[in-house]
Amino acid sequence: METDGPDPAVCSPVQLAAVMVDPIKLEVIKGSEFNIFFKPEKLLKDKDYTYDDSDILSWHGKVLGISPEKVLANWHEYPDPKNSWKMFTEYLSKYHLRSSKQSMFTAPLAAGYNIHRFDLKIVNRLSKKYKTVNKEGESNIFFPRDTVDLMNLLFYWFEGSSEMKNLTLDAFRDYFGISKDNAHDALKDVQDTASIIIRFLRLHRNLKNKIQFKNSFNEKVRI
Amino acid sequence: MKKFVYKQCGCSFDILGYNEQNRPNIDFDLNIAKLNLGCRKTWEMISEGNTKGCFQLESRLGQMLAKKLKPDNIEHLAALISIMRPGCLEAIRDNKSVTNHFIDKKNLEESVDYFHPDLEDILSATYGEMIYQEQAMQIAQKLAGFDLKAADMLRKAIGKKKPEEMKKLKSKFINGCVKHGLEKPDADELFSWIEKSQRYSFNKSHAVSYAFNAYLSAYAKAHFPKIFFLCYLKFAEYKIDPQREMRELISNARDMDIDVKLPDIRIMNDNFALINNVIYFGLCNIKGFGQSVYNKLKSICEKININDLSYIEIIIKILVNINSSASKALISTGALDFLGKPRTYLLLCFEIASSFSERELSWIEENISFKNFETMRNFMQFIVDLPTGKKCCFSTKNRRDKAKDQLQNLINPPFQINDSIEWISDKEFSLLGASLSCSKIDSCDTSVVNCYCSDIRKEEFPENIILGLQIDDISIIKTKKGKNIGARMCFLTCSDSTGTLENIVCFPEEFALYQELIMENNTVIAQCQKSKNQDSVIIKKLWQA
Repeated sequence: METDGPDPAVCSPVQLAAVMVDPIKLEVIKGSEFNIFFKPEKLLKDKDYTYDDSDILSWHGKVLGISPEKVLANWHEYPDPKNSWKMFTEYLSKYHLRSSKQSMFTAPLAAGYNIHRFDLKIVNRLSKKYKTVNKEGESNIFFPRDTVDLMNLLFYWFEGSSEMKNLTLDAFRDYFGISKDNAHDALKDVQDTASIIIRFLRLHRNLKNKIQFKNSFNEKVRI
Repeated sequence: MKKFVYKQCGCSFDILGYNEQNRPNIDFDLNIAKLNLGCRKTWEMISEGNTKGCFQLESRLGQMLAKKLKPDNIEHLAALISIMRPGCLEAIRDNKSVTNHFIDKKNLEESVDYFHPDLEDILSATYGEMIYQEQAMQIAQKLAGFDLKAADMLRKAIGKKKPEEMKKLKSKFINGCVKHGLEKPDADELFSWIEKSQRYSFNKSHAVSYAFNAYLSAYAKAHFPKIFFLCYLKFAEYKIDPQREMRELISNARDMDIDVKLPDIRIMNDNFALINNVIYFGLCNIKGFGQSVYNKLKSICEKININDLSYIEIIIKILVNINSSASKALISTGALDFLGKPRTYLLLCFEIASSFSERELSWIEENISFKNFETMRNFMQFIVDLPTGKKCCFSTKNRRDKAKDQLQNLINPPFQINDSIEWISDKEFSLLGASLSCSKIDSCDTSVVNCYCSDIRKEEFPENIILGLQIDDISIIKTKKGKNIGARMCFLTCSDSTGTLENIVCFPEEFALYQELIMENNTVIAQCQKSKNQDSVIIKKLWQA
């Protein structure tokens, strides 16, 4: 998700992208790419199209190689967030495990980079706003019990590693040898994230058959 | 009265009249007395193991044993029904079950021995095997001189394990046999045989009445297979596992060259229907499409001829007026495939149309001629381009902006609007219980595959079998015998676009090697060999498809 600000409690998405990963084959499902733009909520009723956060406009301008004014002009042309959200939920329902009587427990599982602290907070906020919620008022577009946050996963593997400058997606792109062309385009980000998650899930699947967990704690461990 | 005669078997049926398509309405009399019990077509079908839906023989075991035994009369059929019961299957003699002894003897692969010449007329019909309780009673009568009452007491005493009564009857039986000329040890052995047989022998009168019913259903299937499958599909929902039943019936119907097609909104049938020799799913057979929605849809369609409508009209005039999830289910299961548009695209169009308010819909109805629009995109462009001054529902800026966004969704859809094979297969499976149009495996590279599930069922396959399969069901067990006792192995139910194949065996060694690939819904390429005992295959190698 690309947003118009750094604070997930108040910012609006300007671009939302997704791909679906086949949980059995552990590969991106062909043709499952989703990519849509959102007009930021602050611009919905602003006749002069002004924006109070020039830093974020400059940041987007720098990433996209365009002027902050052009960024703002683009945002203004983006579709209404309600329409974009509707398209997103329709896309998710396409991949729902059950076609009839859909429930959040058969919905796709959310995975991404830093989604716990960022994306999912926005998802929950928008779900409430656009009423894609269950009876308890919680978002029902994703499977509720589990999420995969690649940032956490990478932290477990690279904790204390001197090879990593930081834990940003860009740092890992450099480390894994993934091109940074078009980085911070939501679709490119999500595709790169999916490739890394798939790599780790495959590793996990490989390792689990080679590790003996049964009775691991039966014998007293000598220190 | 005119007769309809089947050339293959000579069976004839009275023609009651002709329907609108000039097809004869046949009088199929269920009276056993009038049934041709020697119908070649029926016996051939049973002997091929094509007994899905036939009373008592529809299980995999029934199909397999029918194929092995190849019955060709009611006596054989009654015996088949008796020997496929657990008692016979579990009663082991000389390392072989009584069931297999019977089959081998019938097929002249094992010699028939009657223990005593006087038993031949009692046991000849069952090739020397005592599979009926009545046979034990006849032996007691003939060799031990029991009257009918005493013979029945013997049956009951053994069956209900009454030791005191058995002791009395045993001495009476042995004395009677000795009087008849048998040596005492032989009489002892004969009694112990009767005793053992009570664990598995079946009531013959019961078996014969079952056999008649089994024959009757097989006879119906052999002569009127389309109506047979139509009826069974209608009643599949009452089975323990309706989806499985449906899949098996569809697979069997297709093996018999009977086409089962997706629901079609033009036909407007609520339940399965036979139209022009093709079985169509009914609209109410779609999950999430109930009778009340069907009634509403029917009442809307009574005023409109669907065939004259474009897809935009069908969506705006019909679908948006019924329940949204039911409409989506209709589209997702291909009930609107005749429109020639991808289902995903129709869902997107429906999503746009369902955002119209009632006021907007009636304005559209009154002011717009749908004939001017070839596509939904044209239609939405027209809405967007409506003159601002004109008094219409779309003249406000907000509404126009919304229409612009919707138009943009059509011009540059945020997700692919072509239907993928996996998506179609998944949707049909979850909404209809079976994937009719395609199988998930069709989306994979199957260039190495050299035969299909239907070839295995028809026993037409090469020596080195390579199948492309979607795994539908996995049953993991622990081995009880062999070199790997306690090791895990599994039986798989898999499918491809030609149907389902059950009891695919994956032995412990292969299971350990390939368990990562053995997951429900996965698609695999399997190198197999034919199983000796079953109509299925044994997995030798597996690859991810």
